[in-house]
Amino acid sequence: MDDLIADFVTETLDSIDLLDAEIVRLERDPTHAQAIEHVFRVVHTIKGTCGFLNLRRLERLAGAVEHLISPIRDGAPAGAQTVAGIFEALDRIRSVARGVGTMGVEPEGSDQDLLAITASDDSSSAQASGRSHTGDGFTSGTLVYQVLERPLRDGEASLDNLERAFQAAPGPEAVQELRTPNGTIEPVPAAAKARVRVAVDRLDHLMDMVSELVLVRNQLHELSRKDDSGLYKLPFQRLSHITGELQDGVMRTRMQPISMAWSGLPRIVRDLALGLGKQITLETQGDDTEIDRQLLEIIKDSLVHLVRNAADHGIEPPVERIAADKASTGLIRLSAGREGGQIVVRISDDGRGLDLERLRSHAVERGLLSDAEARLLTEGDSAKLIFRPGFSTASSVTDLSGRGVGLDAVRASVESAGGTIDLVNRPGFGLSVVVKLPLTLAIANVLIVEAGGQRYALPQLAVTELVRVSAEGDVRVENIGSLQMFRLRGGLLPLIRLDRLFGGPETTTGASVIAVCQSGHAHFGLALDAILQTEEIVVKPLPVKLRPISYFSGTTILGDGAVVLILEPMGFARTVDGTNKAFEHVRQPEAGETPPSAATRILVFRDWDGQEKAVPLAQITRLEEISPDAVEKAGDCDVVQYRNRTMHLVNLGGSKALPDGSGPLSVIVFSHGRQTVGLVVCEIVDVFEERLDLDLAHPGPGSLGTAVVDGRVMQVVDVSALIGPDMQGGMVEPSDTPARLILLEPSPFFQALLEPLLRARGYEVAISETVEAAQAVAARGGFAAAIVDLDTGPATSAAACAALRSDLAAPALVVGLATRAVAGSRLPDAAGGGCIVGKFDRRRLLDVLAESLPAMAHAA
Amino acid sequence: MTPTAPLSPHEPAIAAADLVQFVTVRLGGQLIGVPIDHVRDVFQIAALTPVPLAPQGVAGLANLRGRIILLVDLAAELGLVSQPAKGARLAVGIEWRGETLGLLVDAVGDVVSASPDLGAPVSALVQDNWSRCARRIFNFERDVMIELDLNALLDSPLTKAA
Repeated sequence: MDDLIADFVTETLDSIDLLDAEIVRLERDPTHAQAIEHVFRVVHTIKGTCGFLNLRRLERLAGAVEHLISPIRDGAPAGAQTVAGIFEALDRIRSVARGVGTMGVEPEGSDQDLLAITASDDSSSAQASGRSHTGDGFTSGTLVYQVLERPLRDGEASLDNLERAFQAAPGPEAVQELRTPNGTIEPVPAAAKARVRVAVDRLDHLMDMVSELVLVRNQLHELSRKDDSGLYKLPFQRLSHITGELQDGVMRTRMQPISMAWSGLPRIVRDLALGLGKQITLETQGDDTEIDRQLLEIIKDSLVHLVRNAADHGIEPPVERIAADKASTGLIRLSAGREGGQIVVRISDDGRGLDLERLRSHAVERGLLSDAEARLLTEGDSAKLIFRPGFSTASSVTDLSGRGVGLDAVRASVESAGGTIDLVNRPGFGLSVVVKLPLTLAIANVLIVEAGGQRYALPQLAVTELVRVSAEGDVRVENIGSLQMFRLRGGLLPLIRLDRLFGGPETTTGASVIAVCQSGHAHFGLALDAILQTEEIVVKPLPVKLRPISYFSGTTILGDGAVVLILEPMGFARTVDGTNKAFEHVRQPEAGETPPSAATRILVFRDWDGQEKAVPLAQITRLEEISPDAVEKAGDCDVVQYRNRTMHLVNLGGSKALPDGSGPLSVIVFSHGRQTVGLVVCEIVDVFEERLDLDLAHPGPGSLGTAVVDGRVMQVVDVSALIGPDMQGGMVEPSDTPARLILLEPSPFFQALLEPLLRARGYEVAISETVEAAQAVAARGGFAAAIVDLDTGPATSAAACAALRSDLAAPALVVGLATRAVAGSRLPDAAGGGCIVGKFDRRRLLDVLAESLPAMAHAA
Repeated sequence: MTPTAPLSPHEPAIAAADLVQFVTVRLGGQLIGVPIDHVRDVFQIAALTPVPLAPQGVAGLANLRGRIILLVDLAAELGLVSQPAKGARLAVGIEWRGETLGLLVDAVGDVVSASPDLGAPVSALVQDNWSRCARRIFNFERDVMIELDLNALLDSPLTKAA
């Protein structure tokens, strides 16, 4: 494509974005002379340029806008219709210009609709303003007339004459001619500042060169330190200084004002407000804050999304606002500024803020959290739920926001740019989103760390603190089977040993320092051998072949010429997320993924009687260490305050009193429903992953039975007995014709757990491990209900339920079993709409069966 | 030059006068030809940064005059046993899809010109690793040179670590 046209298209698109903002301003204040002038000038420039680039369609459109704006310029009020017309025409110009940009020629299409509006508007506004626009030298044809509302000065040509000259000009050379400064052309202030358009890759290349210069400088610095003569000292200092300046300068050329990212926002907010029937003012502050071009591109959409969100979900409708004693017009304030070495962007609204209770219940409904987890969340963590994938508070998807790009995508893009995102929530008074970004992606502040005999660069932004590991200090590393955790101020955080993860030589020191990192909602520690220094590094991209490794984000060269890899905290966070899940609760497996049905993760601990006992990891909420001083008495129970709630402490010995001991207590925390119970144990031994074959023959108090774990026989703790009231007793009289059930459950553990329970209640139970087997059993007939394991994946299980149901004797009951059932959830209608019951919630399962089956027996 | 029929029906006919130039390298005693169009330079590797968890074919990263380049362990990819000379290791820098990569080799020899027609198809003459990355085999008077197929070597994912 013609360079000239390409330039024109970029310029036009840029200036139209700016115009949107101006016209919104104009709509509020029709007498805003500056805005009117600006719009007029830009449109006029576009029109003129189109003339000699022979872009007739654009020219006509620009003319139409000019036509609409003229009366306003002459003092007529900017009516809603006129403004709407201008917006529509600008949008059309934008789309046509984009078409020119991609195809090189104007796309086909008619603009009669728009031109008609112009014409009708013209007659009315001309009457309203009562002024004639007739100038001298009207041209015929497609030209739209234009005005210069001051008398022509000596030596100036009228606009129409200029226009004619444009038309007559043969081609690109003519541009030079016309641009010759002979004082005859209306000054165009926007373009008047000396600016050069430079291709971005040239700037990037320049940046690369400067980075290399910096490296050479660093190398020289090493050399000059060894040199005693002092001969090089002065020149080196000068070189150093110049390099610094150059680096700064080149970086600056890649900077753009942040307003580039939000120039489109006034228009978006205006359209949103109109569409939603709200009144919203958008204020911006710090428009000229400069930010790296690359970063700008990355976060542009996120800013738009956040502002949309504020307008759509934050700001209330006027009625609601007045009822809440607020001004009817809502305010969204966008501010940017440099704070330290970072750019801080705040998007604040004075709307309703986040309703944390609703967020929590919504997250539970969506299956993102269990009830218990939700109740344990702090306020800050609750607010951050909106950044979880699959979370959207809008009950209905509106036209304007909620288009599938969730706030989790916003967070991901901010974090991919090395930034952080935070929320300041004032319920009822508004929400502020604080986005912190590095100044540039090309340079990063890192810690140079050592692990497994190799150096790495760890971005400082992700590091929240550094702690030293010592045997007697506060920070201790604990091995829980394959998981390593460390205690930091009472909490347990997962620990990643870089040397182990990277498969390098395990260094004897193990971990002497832990860098505590945060990425997303994951907190974790990186175990390091040493922290060498902090350094400002030039980030180089990772070679393509290495990009699949999620633990690295780039590479860099240090002062001594060595190449080091830059660690990517997000990659570690994902790893940790995995262990967190395993540790806190087993979540629903992804569709299509079959969990290792036979193997169960089992935590083994030593009880006060010296015996080792086991409990499935899936049932454990957390492991904690609690100081004996924190234990209080409530009646004859021991309680502690735990995450703003009271947690009962129990032990398996049956005695309510806590064992004596001076050290901190190891506590296994179980949560179910509204209850949280801490089991005080002597010592956490290990986590094993193996088949749990439960022998129910010898249940003891608080024990389900025995199982062989790691070659030893041990009791398996009955968690439901700890949490809920006793499950014993309440045996029903076996009925004359026992109801027959199918239990579809691949895990031997749960088979062993449920079968005796069901039999004890007088049901006849047939166990199947696969859907096919269950169907075959069902085909024999006479089964009243099926209890189906849902953990194999929601999709397959729902299908299994539906298939089974058709094979059962009607009317059949199908009950779903899930490790993490949300209260009140039900199977899809196709599968019978039966209850979904938690796997460990045996009482509920029995209740459901008892309620439904007699009724069915009558119906049958 | 003996004009013969084009190598295979899938390849366009090449005029006999069109010689192809190769930078020859030695690796584990084998003579290998790297198409010269792709070769940027040959350099010594002062220090190599290993990349944890990288595919097996990745030897590591090196600093080549301020540029960071990925070094490919060609011997591992081809199933050869490298016999490096003493001193710093050598690498052939190649331009690949806008990136510079280094192929680790034992020694670098002359640039040779050959008519592509002289090359014989690889067929089953060579081992598995070779048949993936070898394009043609040239039978010179004293030696057999295998032409490296950079597309095949680099486009497919490098051998995964065991």
